[in-house]
Amino acid sequence: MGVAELADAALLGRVDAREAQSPWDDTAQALHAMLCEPERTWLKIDIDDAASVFVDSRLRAFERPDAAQPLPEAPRTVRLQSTIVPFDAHPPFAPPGESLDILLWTVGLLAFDGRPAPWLGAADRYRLRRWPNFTLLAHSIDQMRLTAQIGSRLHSVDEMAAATGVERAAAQALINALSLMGILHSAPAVAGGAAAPVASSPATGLFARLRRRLGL
Amino acid sequence: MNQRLHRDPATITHGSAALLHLRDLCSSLTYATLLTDDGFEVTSLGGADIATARMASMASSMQALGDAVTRELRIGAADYIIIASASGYVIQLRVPGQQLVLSALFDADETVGKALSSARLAIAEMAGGLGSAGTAK
Amino acid sequence: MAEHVILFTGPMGAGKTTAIQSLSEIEVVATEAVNSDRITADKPTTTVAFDYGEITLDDDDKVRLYGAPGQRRFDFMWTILRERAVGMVLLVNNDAADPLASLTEFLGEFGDLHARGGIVVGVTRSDLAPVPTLDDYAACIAAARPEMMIPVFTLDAREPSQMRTALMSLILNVESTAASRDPAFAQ
Repeated sequence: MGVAELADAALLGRVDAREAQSPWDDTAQALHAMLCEPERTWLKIDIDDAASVFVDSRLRAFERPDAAQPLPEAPRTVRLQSTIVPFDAHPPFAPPGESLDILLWTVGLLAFDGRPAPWLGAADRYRLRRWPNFTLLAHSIDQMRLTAQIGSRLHSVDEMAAATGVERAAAQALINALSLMGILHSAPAVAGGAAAPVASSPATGLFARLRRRLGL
Repeated sequence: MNQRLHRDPATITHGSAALLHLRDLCSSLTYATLLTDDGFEVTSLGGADIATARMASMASSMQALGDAVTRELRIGAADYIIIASASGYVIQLRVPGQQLVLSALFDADETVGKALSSARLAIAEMAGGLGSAGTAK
Repeated sequence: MAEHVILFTGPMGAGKTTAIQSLSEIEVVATEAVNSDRITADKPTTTVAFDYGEITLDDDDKVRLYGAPGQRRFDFMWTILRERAVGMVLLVNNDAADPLASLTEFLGEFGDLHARGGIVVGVTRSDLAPVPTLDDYAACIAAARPEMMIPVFTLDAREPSQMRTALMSLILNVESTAASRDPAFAQ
């Protein structure tokens, strides 16, 4: 089944198509739901003034014809079509496609406007299952610093922000993205509070100096 | 070119003969090894209690570091390397025209001059033998 | 002059020399010899002592980049270089016969660097061989060394921006390790 056929109504299984209420919020929720499903799912994401994005959950990949352009931060509308397909169905784009982590990272950062993603608890604490592949993902140094905070210790979003000096909303956006990518452990908040987080790298430390030297 | 020099029968034969002649020339020779540039042992003489394969690797590293120093200083290729200690000294030289290095340990009683000239005769013999054999060039 | 030594390790042909060339501000001091073992890695030369590059921070400080030979017969160099290093970039080429075995082997040899500094794993040539995946590498590390959380990135050792990403994440981990031992470090 090819891309053109996905756009038609005559498809196997369930098809949903509706206007997104908050453009990237619903997209993030659709991606999260897709990855929680055992069945193979295709997701088509139609974005105003941008080419459509095609996602295949079994390949854990996506295709976006205008990949050279960044996803718009605030599109007016995003339309979603999800389809459950047979496990061995011919993919809607030529494999291998792009790593789905790239799309999950980007949408996760854009969605929810600094609020926790709906599948996360507001006071949860987090630790990495594995690092995100930063060589593949457009990232900032602050996002790398935030990530390092949860490399081996559980931290809440507030603790991450306090240790790094980064805005809480940015820390929450990072957690949303990492959670959407499926690379976080989460745990409920600790009754009575947790141990103070270890502060991030000092301003005079090697990291800060190397960052300045490399112009990062 | 046969790149597996350390397995080449002609290289092993000529190398072993040259090491024996070196010991005949210089009785102070304790141990000697012929190695490939990248640290594989071709053949050794003496050194019953020496890990000869490991020594070949170490000699390769030393040779490469010596070359790096002379390159950095722009003083031409490294002719030989000497490591001296209270109990003896190691001399290392490349075999001309081959990707091979001779590393030889002499006891402290020997003069550096004689050890060096003997080692030079050994590598010349190896170069001649391997060149006329038509291998390893 | 203070020095910060970063060690690059990994099997032969993983891209260690290239990685240092991508980062170094000086021409890399190389100790290459003709490779007579084209079966293990089909490349004309191989490192037999170490590669050396550096990044100058200021008049008093450098980051020194050392590349160790990949073959076990040079493990005496591993011992020498490991003692000086505060962190390590372990490169593994994904198109090798058994990259996960190489990962386990080198983590076994250099695992102490995780405790006293940091380790980052770079998977090269994943464009030529898409498996093992990064999840496979993370699972392998978790099985072999469950106490370690090590960043694993796909890497093109020729790309300076990717090498800088790996280096910066390593330094972050090194400083996190130091801070967790002595919170006063981060003040």
